[in-house]
Amino acid sequence: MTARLLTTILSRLLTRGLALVAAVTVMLVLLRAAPGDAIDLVTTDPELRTRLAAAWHLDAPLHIAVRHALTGTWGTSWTVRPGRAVSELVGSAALRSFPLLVGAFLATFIGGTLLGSRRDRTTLPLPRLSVAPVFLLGWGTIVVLNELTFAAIQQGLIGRPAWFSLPDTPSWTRFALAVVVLAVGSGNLRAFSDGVTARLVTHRSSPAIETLTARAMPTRRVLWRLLLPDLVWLGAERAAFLFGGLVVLERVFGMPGLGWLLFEACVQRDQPVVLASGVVAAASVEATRVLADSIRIIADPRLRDGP
Amino acid sequence: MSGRLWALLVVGAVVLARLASAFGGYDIVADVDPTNAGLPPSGAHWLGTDALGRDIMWRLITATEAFVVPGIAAALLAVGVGGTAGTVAGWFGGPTERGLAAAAGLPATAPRFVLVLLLATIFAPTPAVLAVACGVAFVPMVTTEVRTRVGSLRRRSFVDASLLHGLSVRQVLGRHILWTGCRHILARMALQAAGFFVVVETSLAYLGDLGVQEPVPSWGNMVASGLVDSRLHWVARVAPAVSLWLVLAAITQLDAHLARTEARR
Repeated sequence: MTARLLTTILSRLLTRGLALVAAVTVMLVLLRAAPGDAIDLVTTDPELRTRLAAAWHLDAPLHIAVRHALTGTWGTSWTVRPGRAVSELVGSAALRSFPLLVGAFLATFIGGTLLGSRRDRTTLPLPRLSVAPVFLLGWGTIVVLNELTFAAIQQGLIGRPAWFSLPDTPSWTRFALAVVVLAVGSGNLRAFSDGVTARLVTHRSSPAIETLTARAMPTRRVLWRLLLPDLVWLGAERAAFLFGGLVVLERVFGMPGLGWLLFEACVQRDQPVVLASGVVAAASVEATRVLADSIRIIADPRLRDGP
Repeated sequence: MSGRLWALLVVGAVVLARLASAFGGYDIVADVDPTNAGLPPSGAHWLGTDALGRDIMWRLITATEAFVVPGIAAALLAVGVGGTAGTVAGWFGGPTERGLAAAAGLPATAPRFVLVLLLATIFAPTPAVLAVACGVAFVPMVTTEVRTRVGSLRRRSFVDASLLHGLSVRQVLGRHILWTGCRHILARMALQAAGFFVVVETSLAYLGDLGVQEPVPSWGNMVASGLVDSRLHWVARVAPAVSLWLVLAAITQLDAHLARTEARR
């Protein structure tokens, strides 16, 4: 059984790894095929052009460039922070974004599981709220809170809160709001809770649960045991969407992190930073999927032991 | 009013707005009139005016140019490419299925929004590039859904019976599998891709730089100007946000309706 388990996990790892290599190769081919050249912006002198191309690894063969991209040899930033090592830039930005992503992931996972397992969830306003994209929900939150607080301060009802006004003042309130907006915005929380509900319905009507219910045995534990691998997979699926939302959220709430850096690099056409952010995003998504796959295989005997 | 009816009304209103924008003759530069700045809603300006005295209603209507046609193009691309790949993969199975699934799954390696940003950076963020990027971002999802459905229908006895009765593969695929078995899936995917394009377009316009730039209106940059200018009438501030929310809610509602119809079959 252990050998079979290991083989299955290794094969998933290999498939995801190959997908990552293929995606990075396509990304590099597209970057090279793009009209215009970064060096054109700097100089037209042929000698300087050759030296810059060598320094920025623009003349490296594709397979070498792919290896560099996958091993984190991204060189230095061109325009966002000229001369600074891209790995250092991306690393520090990723560290700043990490708490936000983890917070939003936990909020989606816990909130989605609680909401999805409620039978009367049709009465909740969540479906209507979560239709709004991240920027609109963030905009609404900021405008409403700022306006209400300003009115309350003017009326003398409250003193000036430490977080006022959003989004310029860094505070825990801003962080908590950003986490909630990222979790709810663009339908993340709703999609997760919908997934939980759909799977609960499927499992409740499964022969195993029907037999247990018919024998008046406690079914809740078995139900949750069946649901756990599904929850892990649903969570991994939503993680990719959280990363996409991060790009917008960090701009709306003025919290510089990986999403902010990627957007800045795109605006300023800083190819090494764009490539590095793309590789980190793709690698994170694939790593999450491999992890979710592995947990699912270990937790689900049907996948673990085969038919 | 039923959910489906109001959703259809909203989508219809957006299409009408796009037509009105094409034939209405609104001039985004000539409309600037600082003496009319920040007016409340009235008979002359139904939703008031912005900080430059421009009519909010006409700008909302003109802003539909940014997403209606490119959104439909993104949906058609996603459904066309993903649907074809999914149908071929599901019908033939085996190595063809595995190869096509792997190729179509490549865009799913990166988060959708990040993929769109990357493509927009490489090829310049024009509406056409954004439409292609959004379409490409949806190809993996469409391929997977269609492949699974076609693969399961392919093994059903009615398919063998149809082939034995002399129907060609094209007839069986077109009539019995794609039309009867997959049309709701394809319609849902098209709606979701179009909705995603609206989100991407308005988000980029809200953030500035890569999206639609002033003075050209987009619901995204109109929401952003409502954030910074608190002197505007509240109706003028919230109108773009409400319009966007209504359109996305309508798309979600239609998607949910199609999902329910599909589940009942």
